[in-house]
Amino acid sequence: MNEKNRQFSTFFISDRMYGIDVMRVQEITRALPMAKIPLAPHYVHGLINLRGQISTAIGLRELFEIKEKAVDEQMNVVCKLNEVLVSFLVDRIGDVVELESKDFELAPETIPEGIRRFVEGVYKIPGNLLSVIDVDKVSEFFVKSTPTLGRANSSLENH
Amino acid sequence: MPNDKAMDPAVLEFIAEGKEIIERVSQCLQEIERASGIGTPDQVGALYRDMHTLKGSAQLFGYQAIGLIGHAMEASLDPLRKSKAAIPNRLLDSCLKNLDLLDRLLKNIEANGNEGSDHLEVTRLASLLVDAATDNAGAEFKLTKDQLYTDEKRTEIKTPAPKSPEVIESSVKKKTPAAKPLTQEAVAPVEAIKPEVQVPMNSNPPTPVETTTASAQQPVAGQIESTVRVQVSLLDRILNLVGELVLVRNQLLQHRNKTEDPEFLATSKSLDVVTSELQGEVMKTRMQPIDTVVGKFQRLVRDISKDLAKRIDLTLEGADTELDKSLLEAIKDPLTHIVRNSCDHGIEGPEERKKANKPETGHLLIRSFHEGGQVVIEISDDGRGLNRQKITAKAIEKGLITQEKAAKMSDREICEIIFLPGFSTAQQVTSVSGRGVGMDVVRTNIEKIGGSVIISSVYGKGTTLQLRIPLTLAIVPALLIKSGKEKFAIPQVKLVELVRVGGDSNSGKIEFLQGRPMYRLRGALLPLYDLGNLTGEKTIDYSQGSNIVVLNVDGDYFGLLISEILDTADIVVKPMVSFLRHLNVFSGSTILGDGTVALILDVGGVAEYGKVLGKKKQGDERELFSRGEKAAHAIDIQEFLFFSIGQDATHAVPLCLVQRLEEFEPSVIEHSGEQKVARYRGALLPLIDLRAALNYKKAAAVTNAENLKNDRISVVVIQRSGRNYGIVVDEILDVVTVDAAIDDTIRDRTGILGNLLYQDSVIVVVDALGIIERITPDLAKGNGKKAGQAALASESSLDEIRSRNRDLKLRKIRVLYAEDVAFFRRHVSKVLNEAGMDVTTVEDGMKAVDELRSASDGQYNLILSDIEMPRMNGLELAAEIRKMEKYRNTPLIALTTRFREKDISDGKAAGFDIYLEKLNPEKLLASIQSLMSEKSNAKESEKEVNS
Repeated sequence: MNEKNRQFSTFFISDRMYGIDVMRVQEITRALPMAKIPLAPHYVHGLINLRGQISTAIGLRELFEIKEKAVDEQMNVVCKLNEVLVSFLVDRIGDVVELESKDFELAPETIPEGIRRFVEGVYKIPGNLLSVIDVDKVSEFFVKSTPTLGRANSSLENH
Repeated sequence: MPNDKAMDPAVLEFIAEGKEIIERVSQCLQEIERASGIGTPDQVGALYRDMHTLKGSAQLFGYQAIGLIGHAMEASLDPLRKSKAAIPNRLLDSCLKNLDLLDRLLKNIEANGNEGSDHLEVTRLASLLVDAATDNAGAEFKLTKDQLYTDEKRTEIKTPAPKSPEVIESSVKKKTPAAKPLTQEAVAPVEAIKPEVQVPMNSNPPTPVETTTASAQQPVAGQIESTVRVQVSLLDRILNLVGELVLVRNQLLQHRNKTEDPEFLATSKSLDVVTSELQGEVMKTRMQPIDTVVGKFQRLVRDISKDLAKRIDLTLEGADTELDKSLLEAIKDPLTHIVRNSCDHGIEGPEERKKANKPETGHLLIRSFHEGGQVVIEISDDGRGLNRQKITAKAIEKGLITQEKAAKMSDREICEIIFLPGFSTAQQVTSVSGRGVGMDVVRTNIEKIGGSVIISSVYGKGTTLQLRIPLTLAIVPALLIKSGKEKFAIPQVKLVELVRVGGDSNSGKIEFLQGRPMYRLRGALLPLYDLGNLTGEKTIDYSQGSNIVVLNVDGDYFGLLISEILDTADIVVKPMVSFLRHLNVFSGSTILGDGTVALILDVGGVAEYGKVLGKKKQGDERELFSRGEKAAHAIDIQEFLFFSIGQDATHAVPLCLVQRLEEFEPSVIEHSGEQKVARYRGALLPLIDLRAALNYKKAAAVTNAENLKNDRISVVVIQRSGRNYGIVVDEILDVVTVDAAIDDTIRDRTGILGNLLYQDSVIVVVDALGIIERITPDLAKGNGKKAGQAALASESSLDEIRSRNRDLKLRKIRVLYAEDVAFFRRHVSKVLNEAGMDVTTVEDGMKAVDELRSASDGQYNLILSDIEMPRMNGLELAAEIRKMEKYRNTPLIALTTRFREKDISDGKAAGFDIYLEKLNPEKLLASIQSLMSEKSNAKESEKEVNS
């Protein structure tokens, strides 16, 4: 493998393609039963029992403010953020792809801020554009929005 | 010392060991101090060895100050080891001071990697020790010299242990150079005492004492090797993993029901057993005896009592009770605070104690024990107790409560005041306590770990604080409930009771006050919150009946309306992820046996979210004490046990009479003659067939057959005169709170007190004690006929007495009746009223005394009292009454269920004229009559004599 090449675990939300660095992905599972958390921000779907560990399910669709309706059964992309298990709910899982840095480009200013804040950049691959999600930015967002999550949340919906 | 040594695990080991030694030595010294300075050879030997070890390892690591102190202490203790003489106070004191210094030095090493530059203090303390030891060694020298001769005679007979002189010799040799590198002032005196110490040692090495200590050393060495130090974090991880294992096991066990593979069944069974055992053992690794915390209090109490010039004796009971390490850490500060408080505010100085007729030495007792899956720690002192006046005055002054409120508050509520933030009654701020950070912090900290604090106090007699702590934090007993599709867990500690409401059951309904749901729980309004509002699952149709979980938030109650109660379970608490931790309605989550995830409700958070409780923290005393009002209200409510005995009407007995409810297998019922009995708690329990006793038409034989058809026989156990009696009923129905008096206009047969109107039906109240009384003479004497006649006789005599009373138009009898149970208050009053007397009732002895004091002369000419009452019992009341001039000769009757000979003689001694049993109106009226005429005759004859 070329040094500058990176591998990504890809997935789809409403046919838009995203990728997370494989090194950051712990596992991918099918839809699992979850316990809803009342009063939690709308993108927190609930808690999942992942073989005895509790994982918090985050709806990427809601987090990215994608309006299209979700599919019935969402897959889990499980990552460890700051020692905490988080399952990102996505519509469909794609392949693991190895991409060259020459195809990389920073996220254009024109894409909505709601998603741009989590995107590291874009890989131009044949027939599609892959948005790379920086899970650390997601984690940062959680931390930043924690104390006033309720209010931050409602202001997001006003967008 | 180079700083990088702090990184060395060996140094950490040394620090840990050093701390243990200091702890052990400090305890040992205090034990010796309590024994007036005389230590057992074992104790002194252990002290010596410990200091020797500490010195040795300190020198190994190059910690010279510790080495010096260790050496000085070792040297000063050495002569005592041989002589069995008392350790002088001065030496003990300076040893303890040196221990403190050692502790500080160790902490310095822990923090900075070196001992710090406390050389002045080191030399000062070490020389202090040496001074004390020199004094001592002088005296010791004589002693040992005296012993020398006797010992020599003994050694002639005994073969000397050959090894010990060398051991001592070599240790002495090591000592001397070891101490050298230190400051000169300190070294010099150490060196100076050396020869004196050594003389008895070298000239007479094989003393018997020496040999015993040498041999005692062996097993100790063995014990040390059998333990391994493990990082707590590793234990935590293991505990977590075992928690997971338990959950996996639970899931497997659920799966087991679906399969019939015998091998799988067997394997899963043994997995089950092994897992349970593993869980138990792993939990134990984190358990430490409470002694690790309370053991330190000996020293604390000793120091405080010296500071305050008080004499306080601390007794520890059950200090070996074990508690999770993290919990021990958490209770350490609150406990310390409580102990300080007790010493400072609670226990009086010797002078004050003398005046109060108490022994000059105050007693502090810390008792720990297991109860109901919790550890209870009780701290009680025999000090001055909580002073109602002082507390209310202070609370009013601080604006915590109002004057009117204070007057209405019960003693229990007054006790609760001390838990209010910013409250402290200490007259002055002392170094010990009174800084205003007080019991509120104690309560908060204890509740943080799922525990609770209860205080009780008798003014002038002492105060007891009871802490209830869960065994471990990680696993919590919880109630599982369901709201919509989601499951939730509620920690059992917060749970008060479960109530099923509405539907067609007769248990009240949910009402709405300004749109907010409320429920009348035993006459008091309980604010409700529908969990569906939180979860967004509106599933409860109030008219269809619902479940109320009554919860306790810092002493305030509210009800949670839920759609379904599932089960109770021990759950492993998992914290919420950090970015959801601001949701204070949940305290975490857990994985249930079926693998689903349930959120754990934080009861306080839910109450806040649902706004069911007032804003207590802003000092609104109304909210704080609303519970007290509920309690006061509840006094006038009576509880009855409803049961059926195969008749149309439901029958009942007052719950206050019921000892227990039992179910017996028909096979355990035996016969003693014709009487049915069952073995019950090591005695025979006579079983009384209520239908037969009440002469109902369905024959007893039929009852028997019917009873036998059921698997189990329901028995209501009632105590009378210290004996248990079982009343056989068909079915126990319910415990019902009734706010109505017994109507005794219709009593169609003996054995019935009257009727209750309860929700449009008539409930027959059974005179259980009367029935037992009628039947027991049969049992005791075996003369059934006579007893029967006696019953008839007494029946007729009741009417007779009543009529006689009316006919004779006795001088108006005005009765004061003290009784804490509402049922008896009402019932006895009724009986007395019907006999033409005026009755005033009070709830306890204290109120009776108040009433009697404020009453005009001759307002009461007869006093009835229960024996067991809160605040002031009947015996105390009687003594109090007899002290009052105007009631010196007033007839005084005890009405009680305590009826052993000792009780009767105690009662008579306290000043009661007659000692009677509750619920025996015939006897009561007869006794009153004879007593009143006797007294008035006495008065008349007195008058005659006077004239």
